[in-house]
Amino acid sequence: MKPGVAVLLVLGLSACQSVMPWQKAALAQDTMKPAGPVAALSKLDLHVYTSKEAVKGGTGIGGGGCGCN
Amino acid sequence: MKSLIFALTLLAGLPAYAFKAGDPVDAVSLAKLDIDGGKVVVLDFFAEWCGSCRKEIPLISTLNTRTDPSKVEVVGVDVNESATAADAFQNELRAKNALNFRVVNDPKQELVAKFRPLGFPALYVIKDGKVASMHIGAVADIDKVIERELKALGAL
Amino acid sequence: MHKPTLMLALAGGMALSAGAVNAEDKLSVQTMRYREDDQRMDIDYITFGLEKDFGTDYSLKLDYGYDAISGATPVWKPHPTQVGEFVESRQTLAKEIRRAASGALTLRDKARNEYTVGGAYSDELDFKSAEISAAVIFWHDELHNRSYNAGIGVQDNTAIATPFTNNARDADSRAYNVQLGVTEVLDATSTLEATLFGGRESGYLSNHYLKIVRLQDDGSKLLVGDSRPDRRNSAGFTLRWIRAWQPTFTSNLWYRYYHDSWGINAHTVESKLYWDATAWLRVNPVYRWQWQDRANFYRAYNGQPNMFATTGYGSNDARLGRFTVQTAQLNLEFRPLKQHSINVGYSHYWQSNGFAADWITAGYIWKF
Repeated sequence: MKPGVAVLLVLGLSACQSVMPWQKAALAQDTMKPAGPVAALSKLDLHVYTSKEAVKGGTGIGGGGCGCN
Repeated sequence: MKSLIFALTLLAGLPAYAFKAGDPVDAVSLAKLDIDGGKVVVLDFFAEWCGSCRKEIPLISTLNTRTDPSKVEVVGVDVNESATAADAFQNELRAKNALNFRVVNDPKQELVAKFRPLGFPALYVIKDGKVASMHIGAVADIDKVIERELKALGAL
Repeated sequence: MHKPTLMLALAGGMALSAGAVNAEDKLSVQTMRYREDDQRMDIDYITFGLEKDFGTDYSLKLDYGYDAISGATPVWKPHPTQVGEFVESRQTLAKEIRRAASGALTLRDKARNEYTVGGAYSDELDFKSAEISAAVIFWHDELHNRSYNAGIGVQDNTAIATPFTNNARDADSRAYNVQLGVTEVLDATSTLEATLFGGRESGYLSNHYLKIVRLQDDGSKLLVGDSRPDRRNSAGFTLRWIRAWQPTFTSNLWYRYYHDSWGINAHTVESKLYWDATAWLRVNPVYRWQWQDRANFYRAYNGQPNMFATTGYGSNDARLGRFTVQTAQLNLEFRPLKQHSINVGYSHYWQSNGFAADWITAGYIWKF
């Protein structure tokens, strides 16, 4: 096995950069959530987009959604 | 083969717990924590931004009221990089009677880096300077879990 | 918002990203006033939400929403004087009420993997929809720096017949949606999320209000219902990069590619910025841009030709057309007290085909 391949293999198995649990203060901020700190706002926007455009999907799977059509 | 060994060494170099059950805690850390060698210590690493920590702290505080202070001491370690924010958070909890144990601030994260818990919250039970048990990540009913362990250690 | 043909707001209530126990439980109320520029349609919307954790292992989310819709939609109507001719007109809608409720329960195991089941229901005079969904998040590593997620949703819809609809009987459709994704912590301040999604709809997918004109072989014109394929398969992918540049400044960039079997392709880009101007004021500008291609059976009302042959699919529904669309939005979040937050926002939305709308939002969140 070539050294480069082996190293890449191992790096591939690990995360990009090991962020330790106590270093996650910034990652835990509510602004780091995909839908943002006020998730309901994204839902209200989606309400408009799904009713005025032909495109849908990629915004999560229902369940907690607004259930709107 | 050599490269594979090198790769495995790299892998071994990836994050690992510094202490596991049975391991002695280093003297520097014990001194920083100001731990009384004669007591069983429940050590709770937490931070304001950790949601599960906020859920566990009141439970650990409840447990703290059920222990004998001459046998058990609960010590918190706040890993917040801002000591001011850490104090504000602890004061908020104390005002709500949700925190009743001594807390050591670790703004430079030296203590937590020594313990290297691979999840948060991180709770260690230490007896005679050695790790008796640890609980990494959120644990449901953590107070009852620790209570059972303290009983098994004869500290309750 | 009363558009049977554009079902499914898979609203991401079940956010398929690295989940965490919330620090607090939340009760929120959000309101929205939506106005189309030519007063075509007005919608007033209110939604109530509850997020509650039970210990460290269970989280419950409940939402209830209520809209009042009024306005008109464009339709073909017989020409007032010329027999056999049709003109573009408007159909006024009676004030309609739509109610929607949804819930999701999440369970976390010892390794903090998450399992969520959800349900949603909505009904209005001429349309109803019920959905069940399930999602999982698995952690790749002990440090929780990478997670994989998968979700599936099944939605049953019914276009209810009324005296004003094309159908004299109710018509059903079903939609399946799947999503697979991976979220990676890049470093202590940024994450990247990539997802693949797919959908499959079948049944009555036409708009039960809209009509089209078919040009007969003998030159006469026939007014019939909007007619779309009874199957639509869609797929795409998304990328989301979130980075906290400063403790007080975060950016959230999102891209989506979409393709479906009706010939629609689309690219969507959304950028959200969050700036904590003071300890109690957060400023959140949002800009979204999307380009979508038209469905292969679409013809614009004002296009040439705008009518259809005697057979084959056909629709004049502008939403199936080719256009670019932009949204500019500004939200302000006030947090005078730690447990209370008030948000207000204004959005302007404009499509390259001339359609435009504005909406304002106002909401309150209580963390307890």
